[in-house]
Amino acid sequence: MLLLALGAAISCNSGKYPLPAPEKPKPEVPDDNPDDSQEGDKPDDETPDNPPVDVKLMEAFKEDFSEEPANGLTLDSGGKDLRCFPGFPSFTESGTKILMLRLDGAKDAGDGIKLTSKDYVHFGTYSARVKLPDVKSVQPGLGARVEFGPEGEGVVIDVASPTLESVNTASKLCVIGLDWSADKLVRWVKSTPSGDKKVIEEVTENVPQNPLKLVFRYYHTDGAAANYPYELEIDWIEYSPQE
Amino acid sequence: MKRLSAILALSLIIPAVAMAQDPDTRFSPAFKEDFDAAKPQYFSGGSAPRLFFGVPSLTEKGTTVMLERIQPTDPAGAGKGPEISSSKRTHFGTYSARLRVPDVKKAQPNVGAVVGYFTYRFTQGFGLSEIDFEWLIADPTLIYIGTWTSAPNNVGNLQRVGRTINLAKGQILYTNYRSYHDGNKNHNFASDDDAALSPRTIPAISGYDASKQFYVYGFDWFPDRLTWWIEHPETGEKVILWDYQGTTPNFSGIPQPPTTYMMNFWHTNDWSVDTNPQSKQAPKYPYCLEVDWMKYEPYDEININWREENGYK
Repeated sequence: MLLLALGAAISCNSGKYPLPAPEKPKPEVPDDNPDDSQEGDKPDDETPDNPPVDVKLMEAFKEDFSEEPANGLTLDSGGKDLRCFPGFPSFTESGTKILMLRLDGAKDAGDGIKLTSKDYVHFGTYSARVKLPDVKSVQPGLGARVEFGPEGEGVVIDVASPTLESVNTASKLCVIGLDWSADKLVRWVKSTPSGDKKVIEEVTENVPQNPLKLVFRYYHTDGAAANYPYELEIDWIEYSPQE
Repeated sequence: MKRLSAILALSLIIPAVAMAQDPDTRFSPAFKEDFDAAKPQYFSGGSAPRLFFGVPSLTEKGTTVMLERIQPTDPAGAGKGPEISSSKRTHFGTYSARLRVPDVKKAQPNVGAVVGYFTYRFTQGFGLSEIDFEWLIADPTLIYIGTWTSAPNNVGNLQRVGRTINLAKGQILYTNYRSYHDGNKNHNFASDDDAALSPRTIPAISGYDASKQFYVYGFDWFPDRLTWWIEHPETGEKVILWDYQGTTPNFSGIPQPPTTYMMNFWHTNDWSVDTNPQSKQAPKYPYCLEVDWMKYEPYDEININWREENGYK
């Protein structure tokens, strides 16, 4: 029963969704041979194991959002104003400047805010210190999700069920992240930056091998639209590529 | 030429002296608090997570505001949520503020929460001095305006004059008074009491909703007259909501002693908005009130004279 509840609370994008799948955009997998039109017919499982050669990979960075995002990250508010507020004081932790994201009511699933890396990321450790909005009393049926990590492979949290491995990501700033290597992808959560990682899921089969874009998304699913612009806080995002 | 310059200089000095700026440092000079800095200049109050100063508006690009953020855990009662108070006393003068209440109609239509833009101070021997603009955010098309005064030595013996308006419809719901003298029963003013009931009609402000945009609200407080107004969002003209010069059988209704200038946001569990008797729920989310600025322009000469005449120490 507990496992069932946890399954409902989080889904990690390995191609299977315990919750209704969001209409998320297709991850931008780099194409190192765009002129070869025959490649389009190649089945997914024939993707080469080695990363493409012409892809620019990001170096290690830590974005603290004290101002507009730098470090090769770009913010897309989905064409709407007043959704993204970098350098805003945290509502929940005195003295901390954060990137505040406000998801207002939207008609379409998939609509939301997206932070994307300009270049690609690959094997390494990803972490983000975040606080989700606490909507359990005001709108328990809210259809909204958070996704963080290599696009399509990151940690995904249903905003209406924000507790992962007993860490309530809507109660305070917590750390979510993943460790991605050639043979394993581990998604985890920590109560504090120095705390112990609590593993959400460990993937050892079909581990993605190609570089991907780094994303942080806060978006609507096909569930109920937000009745109020619930605020999500990001203190920082860090990426450490594997040596 | 020198003589002309001297005359010109003198002509600039004389009006300045005649303005009789209040020398009593307990009282605030004229100010406009624009909430652009991390700490307000003329107000004090709490701090995070309830109060935030000098932050970008969440609803209007390019505007810097104060946020008052009510907490679901705040107990019910006036003053038990976020609140700021002027550091110095204020008195007769023109007060104005630009603010926007949170839009909670979809999220929690039955919330019981009050935004108060007001003055409040009890002085022993002089009684309570309170003038209010209030919004019950469950229906932000309504505005509650009025005063609270009291017996000179007992803040529990209250007196109220008030008016409730649906500004979207240009409808005065009621204008009435009550006091401790007869058990706080509501009374309507006599229908021919022009001094208490002016204006008798208020033009609707099309689409008025205090949660949909910022509006400028204000009041002009004289010893014998109190006028509440709103700036029309399109023309900028003052729309008079209530021009009160009345009295009641037991009290005038116009506060007399000095006061404190305030803004707050609190949960009520026993005062529902007139259009929704169910609106008494505790907030289920930390909704944000936004205040762009608060202004005060004292009538210094009137204030100095009033203190002298009334032996206010």
